[in-house]
Amino acid sequence: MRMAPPLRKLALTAHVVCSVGWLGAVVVFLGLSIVGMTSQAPDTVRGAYIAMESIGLLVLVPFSIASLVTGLVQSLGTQWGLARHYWVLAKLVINVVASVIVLMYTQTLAALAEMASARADVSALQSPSPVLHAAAGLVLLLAAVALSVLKPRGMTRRGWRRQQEQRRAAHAGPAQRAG
Amino acid sequence: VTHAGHDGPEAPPRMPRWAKVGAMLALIAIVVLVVLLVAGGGQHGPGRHGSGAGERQQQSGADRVPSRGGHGQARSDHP
Repeated sequence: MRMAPPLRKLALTAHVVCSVGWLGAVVVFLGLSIVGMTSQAPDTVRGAYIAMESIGLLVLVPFSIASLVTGLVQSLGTQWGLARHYWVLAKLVINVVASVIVLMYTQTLAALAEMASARADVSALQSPSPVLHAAAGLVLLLAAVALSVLKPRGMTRRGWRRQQEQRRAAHAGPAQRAG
Repeated sequence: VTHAGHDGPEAPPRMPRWAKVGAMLALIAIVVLVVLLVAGGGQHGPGRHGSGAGERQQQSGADRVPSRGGHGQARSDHP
């Protein structure tokens, strides 16, 4: 089903807002995780881990799901399709993998925030895990942005077959009318 | 007309080089992660942190807190 141009523009805007919001939230999360890992002030470390849990639950998870849903709408409602072009497929894989990791990692963040609230020793909290996860997420999302902007060429077999069918149908149409 | 990624108008296209490189990098990343997980004794996820926190709560009043690996250690900054 193809969306009408106004709806398509609205869906594209929503997808860009959600994806850019997710990217920005990951950058903020990365900054907090670096503060949490390197700060010498116990209260700053504990505050950083408590804030990271809130950002994870209230910002990262909603934005990741919204980015995935709006991306699906955008691809299925336009000529790009979901599995016709490698760059769309690659973005879908990146989005699904990153969303699953974000969802799973909220459990770790909850455990760290619980420890921080319980005023555990900061050395127990200062783990490189949030920094590594945020850095990996940032690399994935930057790759997705690059794919969106560059739209590198390359059609999948499925996309090629669909294109051939459409071409045959386009050629058959005028011939039938002429006959 | 033959161009990059295509064998011809009637042949299905080949996977472009950037997609092959991306798939290869993803495969390498997965293998490295699996090796790191196996080398680390499968220690990954919330259990690594959570078990320590639970341990501390059960010890209410005990002068021990979880360390980075989830094992208890003597607390030095207790008021």
